Amino acid sequence: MGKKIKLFTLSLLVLSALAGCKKEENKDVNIYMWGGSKEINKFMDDVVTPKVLEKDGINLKRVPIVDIKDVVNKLIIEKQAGKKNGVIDILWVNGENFKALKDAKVLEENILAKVENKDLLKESTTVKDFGETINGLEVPFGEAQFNFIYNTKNGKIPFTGWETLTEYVKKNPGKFTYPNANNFTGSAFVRNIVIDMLGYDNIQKMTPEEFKQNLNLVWNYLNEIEPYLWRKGETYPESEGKLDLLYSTGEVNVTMGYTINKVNSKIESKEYPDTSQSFLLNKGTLFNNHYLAIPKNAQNKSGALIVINELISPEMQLLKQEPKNWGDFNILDMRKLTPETVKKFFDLNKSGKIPSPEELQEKRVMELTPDKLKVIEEGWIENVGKN
Amino acid sequence: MEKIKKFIYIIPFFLYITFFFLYGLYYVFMTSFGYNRILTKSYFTLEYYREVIYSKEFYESLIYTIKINSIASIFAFILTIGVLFLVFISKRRGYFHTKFFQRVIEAPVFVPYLVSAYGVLLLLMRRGILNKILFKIGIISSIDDFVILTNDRYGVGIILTYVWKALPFMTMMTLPIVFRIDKKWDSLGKIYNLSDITFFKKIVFPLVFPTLSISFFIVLTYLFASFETPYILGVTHPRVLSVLVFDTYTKGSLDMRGKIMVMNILISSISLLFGGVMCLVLKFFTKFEEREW
Repeated sequence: MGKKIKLFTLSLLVLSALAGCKKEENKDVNIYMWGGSKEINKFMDDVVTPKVLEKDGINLKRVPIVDIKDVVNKLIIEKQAGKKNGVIDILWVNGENFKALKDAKVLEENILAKVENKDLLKESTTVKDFGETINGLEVPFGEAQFNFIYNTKNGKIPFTGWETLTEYVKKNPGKFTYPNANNFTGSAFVRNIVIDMLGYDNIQKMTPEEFKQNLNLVWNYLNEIEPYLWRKGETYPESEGKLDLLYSTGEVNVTMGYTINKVNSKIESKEYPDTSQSFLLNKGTLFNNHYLAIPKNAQNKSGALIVINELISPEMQLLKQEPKNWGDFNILDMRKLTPETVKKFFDLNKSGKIPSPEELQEKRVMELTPDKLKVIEEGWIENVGKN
Repeated sequence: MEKIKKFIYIIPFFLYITFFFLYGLYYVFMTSFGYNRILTKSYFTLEYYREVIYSKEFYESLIYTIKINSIASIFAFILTIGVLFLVFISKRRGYFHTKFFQRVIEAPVFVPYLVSAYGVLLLLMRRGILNKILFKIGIISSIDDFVILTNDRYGVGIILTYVWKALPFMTMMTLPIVFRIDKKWDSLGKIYNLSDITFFKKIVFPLVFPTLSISFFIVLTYLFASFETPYILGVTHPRVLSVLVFDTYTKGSLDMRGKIMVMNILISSISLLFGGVMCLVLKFFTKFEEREW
């Protein structure tokens, strides 16, 4: 009898040990993210991956994708097909894609509450994403604010709003352009002008019909400045990269983008003249956060949470903000950090090429909701792009 | 026995095609008819076809695409004949190392379209390399005098890149034939005392023509669906079909999928049509070739 019990317990022990082993085995976390930027890829591969492997023993695998929309579709289709063991553990997302995922109910709920470092986050970053309430489905990863870049060699800040932009382009014909609105950056520029002309609060009050009506003002304005743009507005650069190229060869005087530290990164990589500087509009420029989320059918949710926690830690956010790495701004509340860390973040801003944190804070406007965004993009192509 | 052997040889290719393409094609077809829909229920509909066929945008893009591709292919065709003639003459008269010259001409075949499009952009844009050189040596007095060759309404930049890529391809396809013909028919030329030009006109050109026309159709078909070059060097409007599809795919919402798949099917069908023409041409010429060789 005793022997039997012994054997039984032994086998139980062996079994549980085996089960334990199996649980331990899953050390892979797949993060799906847009792979179009060399700086971001390098930061993820050379800085983040070795750190999480060393610290948590997690094997982080970055899966580059062309368009996050593909992943959104994949998750929705997988849900339809009832697939339980998906390959995506973390995905990098915001705005309309987040809305699509939220509507399809394919995201793991309440992940924000399960991340230890959540107490260090700026509270504003966890409420709304492009006007869509987050409800703990996403954890903020970084902060972006639209900014323009010009060469100080050519004089003072060229413009501060749509009226001064008109003066500027008329005085300097052929020296300004923006990417076409099919492009992410181009669409953001048009949005900035829309908000600058119509006012953010006014837009919020408009019905979709009124909004469409009022947009005609913007289309008239953009058509009015078109003859003074690069190539007389016959064509618009198809990407931010092309606009950057035009700027670096001196064909246009101004470039733009969402990364606040873009000017520092590009000077560091010797693509821009080192007299470049970034500036904002007086009434503010668009500002948004980008986020990390976990799909419902992820296989390694616990691992994903550890990685996300690591990514929003002060140490990693600091590395991310370094211009030579990525240059993306942090989402941490400076009041909740130690003085030494705050000083380190502050030191990163010392180059003087980007607006001060106070100015960035003061001159910012929230993103419009995805449905308004769509109206703007389609309207631009119809009314401006085709002319 | 011979037939079975042929079939066995084809199997790996067939498996590959099934795994990677046929399912894709199936998906595209079904989506275009309203199945596989991500939003709302899926059922058979011809709505997407109607939408595309009645849209002005699609026709504008189609015509623009065909225009640019035909111009590029025809230019490449004519220039290839010129290049063939030059190489032929230089080989006969022993002007320079022909093998080396051949390599130089064929080199662009190995450059990806994406790279060559960016190359053309950097070389020919307003503040590009060529412009700077012309300005330095004083041929143009101001940088803004330079003609616009990239991102222009008429697609000059696109056509230049296409020709730059297609010309070496056509040359690569036909140059070995030129040399072979020269070797085989040289004595005949001597007997009739033909000059180099007449020899090329009367003997080389007619024998090279079939291969040349086939490569012409290959280029035409390929360019019809090519994407990178018009994306980088084209204008915002009009766009070529592939760029139109890409823009609709990345910007449009999920309910646009059906329309996009219809456009894909139409692009593929037109490419197939070119392929069919190519097949007929091939058949037509092989009849001649067998007689003449």
